[in-house]
Amino acid sequence: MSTTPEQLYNFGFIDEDSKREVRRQILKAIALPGHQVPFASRDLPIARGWGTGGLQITMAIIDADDTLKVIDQGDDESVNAVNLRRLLQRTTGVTTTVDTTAASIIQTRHRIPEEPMRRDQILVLQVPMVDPLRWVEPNLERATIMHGESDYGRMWVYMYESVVKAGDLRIATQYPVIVAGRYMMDTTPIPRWDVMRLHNAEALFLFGAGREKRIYAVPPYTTIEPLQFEDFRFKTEFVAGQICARCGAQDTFLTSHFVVDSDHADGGHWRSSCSDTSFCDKRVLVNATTQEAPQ
Amino acid sequence: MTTTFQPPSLFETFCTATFRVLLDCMARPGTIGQIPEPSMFTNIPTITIDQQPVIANRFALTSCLSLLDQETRFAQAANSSWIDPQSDINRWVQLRSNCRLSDAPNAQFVYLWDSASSALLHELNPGTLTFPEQSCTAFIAVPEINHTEPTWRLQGPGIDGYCDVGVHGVVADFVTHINATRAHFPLGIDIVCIDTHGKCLALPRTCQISLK
Amino acid sequence: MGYIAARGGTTAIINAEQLVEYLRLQGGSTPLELIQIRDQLRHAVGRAMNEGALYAPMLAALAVKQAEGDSIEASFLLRAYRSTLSRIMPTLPISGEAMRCMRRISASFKDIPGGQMLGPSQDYQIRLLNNLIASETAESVTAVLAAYEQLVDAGMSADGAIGHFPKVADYMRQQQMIAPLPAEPDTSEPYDITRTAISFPCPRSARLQSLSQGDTGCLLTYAYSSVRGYGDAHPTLAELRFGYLPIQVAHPLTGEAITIGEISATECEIVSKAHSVAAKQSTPRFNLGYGFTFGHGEVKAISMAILDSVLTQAKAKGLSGESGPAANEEFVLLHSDGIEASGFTAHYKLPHYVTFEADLKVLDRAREHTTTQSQSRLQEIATRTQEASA
Ligand SMILES: [Zn+2]
Repeated sequence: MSTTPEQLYNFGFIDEDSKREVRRQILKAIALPGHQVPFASRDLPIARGWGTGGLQITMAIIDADDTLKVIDQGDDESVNAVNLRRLLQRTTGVTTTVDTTAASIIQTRHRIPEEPMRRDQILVLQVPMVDPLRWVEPNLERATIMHGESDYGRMWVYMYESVVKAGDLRIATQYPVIVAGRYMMDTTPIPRWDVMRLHNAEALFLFGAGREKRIYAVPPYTTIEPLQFEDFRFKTEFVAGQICARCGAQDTFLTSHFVVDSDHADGGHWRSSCSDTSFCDKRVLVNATTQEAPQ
Repeated sequence: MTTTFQPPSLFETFCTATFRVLLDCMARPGTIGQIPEPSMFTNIPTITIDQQPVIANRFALTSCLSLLDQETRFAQAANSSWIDPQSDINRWVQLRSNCRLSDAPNAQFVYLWDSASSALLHELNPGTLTFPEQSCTAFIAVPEINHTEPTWRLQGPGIDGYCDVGVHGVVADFVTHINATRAHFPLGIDIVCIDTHGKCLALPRTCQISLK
Repeated sequence: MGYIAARGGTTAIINAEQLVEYLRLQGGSTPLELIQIRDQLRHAVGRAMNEGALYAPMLAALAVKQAEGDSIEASFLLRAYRSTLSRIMPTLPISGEAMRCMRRISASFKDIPGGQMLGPSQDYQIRLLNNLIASETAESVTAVLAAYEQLVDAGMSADGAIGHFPKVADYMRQQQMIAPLPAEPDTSEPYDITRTAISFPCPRSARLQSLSQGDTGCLLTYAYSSVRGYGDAHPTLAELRFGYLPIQVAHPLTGEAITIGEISATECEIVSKAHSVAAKQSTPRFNLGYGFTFGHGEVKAISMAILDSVLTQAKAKGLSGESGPAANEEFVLLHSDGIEASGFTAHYKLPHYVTFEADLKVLDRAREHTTTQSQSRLQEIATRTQEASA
């Protein structure tokens, strides 16, 4: 055993053959848009369910000159994002950033950044539950056959029942979509807000589920059709009149915060602001400079 | 923050850089990528075809090699016939990648020395309906790829509308052979063409090719 | 701002790490040495090795120390470390017959070739807390060791032979008591679930590998459910052995077998009642289940052997009656990994405010829908009442 306090790990933590296996499966995932490709999924020093799928993808693709951004809930400073970034930074030494436009690889949980991503960027999504059919068919062997045969009838029935019972397509996140006209895919726990941002995008989207041991991909310029009915269309969370309390944006995904003013006058209240914090910060800064600028 | 990693070896660096090119090309068919110089491989092997020595396309062979390990089965063909698994050229690849040498129907990766060998693509494993990802990936050496003199029009996921690209010096029925591997999506063979300068064009099974 | 506590991650994480260290050490007691853990907490070390799927006693001792005795956490540390190692080569197949046994028992026959050997076992101890252990000193330890060694010297057999026994299962096979294994495609090399994701139906080697790194408690629960009533298992312990197994690899050039060391291991074979498999076979035979762990892990080895037998029979459609969850291979294998299960269960501690916000929107719409529905229902009733009274 090494006597130094810090052990030397492989660049990108996992061994080269494990990386190679992930790489092979990523290429297959791209060639089969929306299809879940099994991969061996090594154990990482991060718990299963905490982003190990996304991490393995990032570890397999990352190069020393990449610039990395890691977010959780859209937030760079969320504890889990900090933790994953720390592991990747310590085992690769790459530059990290909070600026979406400066990153070459963005690893994320639950959000797609608000700023449109470019063709030279890759978004790596951490996936907890891989299979949209899990709602109707928990058995993997049978669900795999259903995907193979495009046998999606039961899922349509499930969606229809949710409309009848709840008056809405009840699935809030992990909304099922059809990719490139063939495979039904789970959109990870991104909100509906982000679902259509996968459609015909410029960037490549890679999805990794470590515990479920699956990788899937949405290449750029690939069609994404959410499951919906003629008389019941897919809707995002957007509510008319919504506004970010910090930056004033009217077209972003908002999350609620409980706020107590410094004088504790009102005992606190809820307010909504952008979940993409770095984007929100940028806008706050721009607002401040425009206000200060002479007329 | 303490960095606690070993710097990657030359070969690892080559593999990662090559993978990023393959990734970009596979995600965006029609994009022409540049495979890095495989400088760690000093003697690129040759084979004899019709009594003439033919040297491997070092970019094509080594970029295929960069994806191989002890879990993968590999085969190669030249001049429209499969090369004996026990031959020196196959040993050369095995020694550097630890891969298993295989017959065509079981190979997960193949290297085709020339476009004429595309006639053998139909012998490769196209995967199954439940496991289409188990299909073979073929690396094919071609003389030249460019955007300046387009010969093909590509369509499919990853392409905004269509994309024109020139693949030169290949046999007449090359496109026919390639298109035949993708007639039954999701089954199919994913193909990477690499020219003598390391220019790389990927043709995943979703990509449809028409002649211009 | 109240919610800001969930942000500001970096400092919080570092502080949390320091606090964990502080709690571990705050009593000011003498730090545990790894060798003490390896020797005196050998079950904890063994469990970390078999669930962590890495045979490395000193690293396992470190993992146990670092995890403050939490067995899943200790296994997790070892598993994560394993991912940084290249797989160089597989060992040659080992037979349990090569084991240098410290213990070997059979419940099937009173007398077995080689005889029963109770060995180090707590099975027949009266489970009373032992105050002598609480007050152990270096002197008392030396005295205990000396006394035992004297006993060993006195009892040593004349030929000095130790611990090699024939296998009970081999005897049963010779007697045609055991059903041959169902044929499987290409079993020349075992499946490696660390290199290829498991898919179903899976070969038996994938099942065994998966079970052998499964959580002890979970395997125990499944096996217990199957023998208690939610299943058709009727196991008899053919043999349980614990001891040291030589590990061999083939020389990369000559192919010659070379012994590279010894591991401590537990091996178990159970046979299960013949009627279950009789239906499909010409001659009724027992079905054999196999269990194996690093270190001394008898409960896990027995549980694994029972599950292996149940799953083999389930696959051959040899079970009758209520087969229960333990007969569902996909269910058992996909839920028995303690590291995966605990990771995912614990991930609900992570922030979910984006998904929760989306859930809230769906809830709002569902409420609106219910309100609209009940209003239109009230209206309908009102209209009907009017019509009826008109
Ligand atoms: Zn904002």
